[in-house]
Amino acid sequence: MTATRSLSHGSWSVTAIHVEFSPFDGERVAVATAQYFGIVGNGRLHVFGRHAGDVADSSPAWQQRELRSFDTQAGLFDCAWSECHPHQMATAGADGVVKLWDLGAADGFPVADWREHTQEVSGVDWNLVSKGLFASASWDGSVKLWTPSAGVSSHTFRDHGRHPVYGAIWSPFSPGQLLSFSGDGTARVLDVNSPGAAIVLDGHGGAEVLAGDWDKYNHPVVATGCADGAVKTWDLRQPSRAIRLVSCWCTVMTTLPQLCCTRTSPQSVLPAPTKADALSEMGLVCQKPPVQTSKPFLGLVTNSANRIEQGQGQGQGSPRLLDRCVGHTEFVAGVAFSLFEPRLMATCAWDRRLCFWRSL
Amino acid sequence: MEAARRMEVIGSHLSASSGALAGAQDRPDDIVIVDAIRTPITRARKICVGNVLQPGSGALSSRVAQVRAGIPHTVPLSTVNRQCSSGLQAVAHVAAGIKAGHYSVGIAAGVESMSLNAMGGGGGLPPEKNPKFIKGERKGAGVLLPMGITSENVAAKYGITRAEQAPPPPTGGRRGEDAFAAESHARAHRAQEEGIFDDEILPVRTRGCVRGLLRPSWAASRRSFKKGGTTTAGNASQVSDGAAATLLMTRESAAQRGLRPLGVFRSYAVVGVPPEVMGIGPAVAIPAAVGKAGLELGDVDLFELNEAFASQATYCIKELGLDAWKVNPKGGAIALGHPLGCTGCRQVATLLYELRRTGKRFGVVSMCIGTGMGAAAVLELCC
Repeated sequence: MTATRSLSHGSWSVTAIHVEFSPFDGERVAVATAQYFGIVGNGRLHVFGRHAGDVADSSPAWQQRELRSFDTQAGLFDCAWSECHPHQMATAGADGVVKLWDLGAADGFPVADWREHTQEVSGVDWNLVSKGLFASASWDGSVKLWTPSAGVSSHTFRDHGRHPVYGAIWSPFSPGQLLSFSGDGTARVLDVNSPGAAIVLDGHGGAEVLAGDWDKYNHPVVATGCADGAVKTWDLRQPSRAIRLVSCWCTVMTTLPQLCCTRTSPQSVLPAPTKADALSEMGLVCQKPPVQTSKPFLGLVTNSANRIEQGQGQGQGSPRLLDRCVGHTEFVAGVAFSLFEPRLMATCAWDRRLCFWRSL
Repeated sequence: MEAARRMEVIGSHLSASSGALAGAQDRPDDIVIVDAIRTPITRARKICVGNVLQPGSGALSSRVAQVRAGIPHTVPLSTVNRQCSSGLQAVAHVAAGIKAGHYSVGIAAGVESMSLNAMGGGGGLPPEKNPKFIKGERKGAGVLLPMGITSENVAAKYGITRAEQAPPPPTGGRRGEDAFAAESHARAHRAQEEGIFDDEILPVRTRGCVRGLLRPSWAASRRSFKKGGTTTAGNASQVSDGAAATLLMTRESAAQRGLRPLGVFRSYAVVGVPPEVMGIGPAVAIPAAVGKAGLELGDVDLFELNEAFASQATYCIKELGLDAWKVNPKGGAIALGHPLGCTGCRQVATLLYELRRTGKRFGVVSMCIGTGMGAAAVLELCC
């Protein structure tokens, strides 16, 4: 565990919902927050940076300072850095509004906002390949695609019916594919080029699918996380059943949780030489069940290496839990890997804290 | 209206928790360890004491120690000898007794003074009285092999050479058995310097671990057991004295007495292996114990793997594919010493306090057992 930063602001009851490292600047991290656990109240987007002076300092202590913050009328459930503009970010508002911010803006207003979703926007994600495009997912059941310059969405998917969609994450490999996951108990791979022909990942046992991400190093592999605590990995060539159940002992994914596969090279991440061909890491947000009723819930982040043997459903390489980071005192809601520093993770939680972890 | 609907959606994520993946559920009849303590390892309602080398299994001296320690004579005592796992076997005995309802609270302890009672002696099968036994081709002869020879056998059979093939230790540059031994010393030294042992050690009298052994002396260390062998004094466990004790009871009794459990004794397994390569015991026992606890190897955060010899410890780590930094983070028997009967109990103390210090959950205590066995227990930290 390394340094932590508290997000408390006066008498606000601010809940940190999502954290994201900048893809341009390894020193920057953004946090989306909402008052009162996202149930009612305002939101704020924070951008933190490391002190200019200690860039060369390799000490684990991350002294963060706030570079910028933007207030919103509704709580923020997610944020995403632009992949084409280092100073722009999109946010997901609980009032259904998707906003685009410029960190260099003189005033505190968004560069653009889009009011098409009819309910809470739960996720935004920027396309890593077609960098002019980003997606938003909403509790109204739709996934919408946006280009910052256009005033209206360029496409709407309604594959999940009226069930809330908790997120839509772009494939790092093909520019038109999205992994969406929803309260209908399925995750789907939506394709911009052939709408209506989504791959359905059913088999979560009816539990709401709250989190998902692409394995950045195994093209056809995705991971999903459910409300019942199961984390599963899927081979998209064989979507009928999960290839693996990651049996971590944590039983509950938190509300508005996140699951994130690292984008840094797994080879450089792992300390010991292993079979590097089929290996990637996942950060999971989990929460420990209360052991004693007198104690508050303990928030945990697990960083689980998920070893997948291509073409073998079962077998040797079962997923291993690499590390647990204990320190949060409430639900952990967001987790992100640094894109520049191997094994550096950031987490944010309902305990109003942003924590940085450097795993072994 | 809006807030109520939103709260319903968020609440549905929490109430759906099924706990299907939880490794173990807390139950009132869990056997918990409420205290674990040990002496420094030096060179010079029931109670169950593990020990190996004392005459008559130390039944006499343990009872004397009990009374002199102020524990009333009404408390019964027994001793147990399962060689290197005696300390852990004592914990398992007491846990089993409590589970069976024979008593509700017990002390499991381990003690050994290798300086007073030297190893060897044939254990009732002295070769001069029974020469048939030492003939190599006879079944059972392997049981009489000196431990150092079994270490050489492991090294030879599984290709653990002195100079290479060991996984590179995280903090040292040296490779092979000596590297493993040096790493053990380095970790123990660091833990001692940083005061990490303070919780588990009851100060008695200490001379501490041997510090700062340098490379030349490692290289010069004489092969002790076999010409051209790999096992030396430097990469084998030290002759030492020590004692450790744990207090066990059910979770329910702990709650009644207002004691805070430190850890839960989740599972225990002992397996048999060929006597001539007894050092591979943990590689078989650990998966067995972990399986009994309903876990997978990857769920275990820390391993206290007894370092009888660097050869067998290195083999077990390689065979099980363990992360080197999860095994003996505070050093092992090569640095701390291996007082045979004490070790299992000492490892329980070392493991539980390290789990607590680092906020981890599951740990495994394991050791190889002379005459060809391996033992392992899974412990879980209570938070």
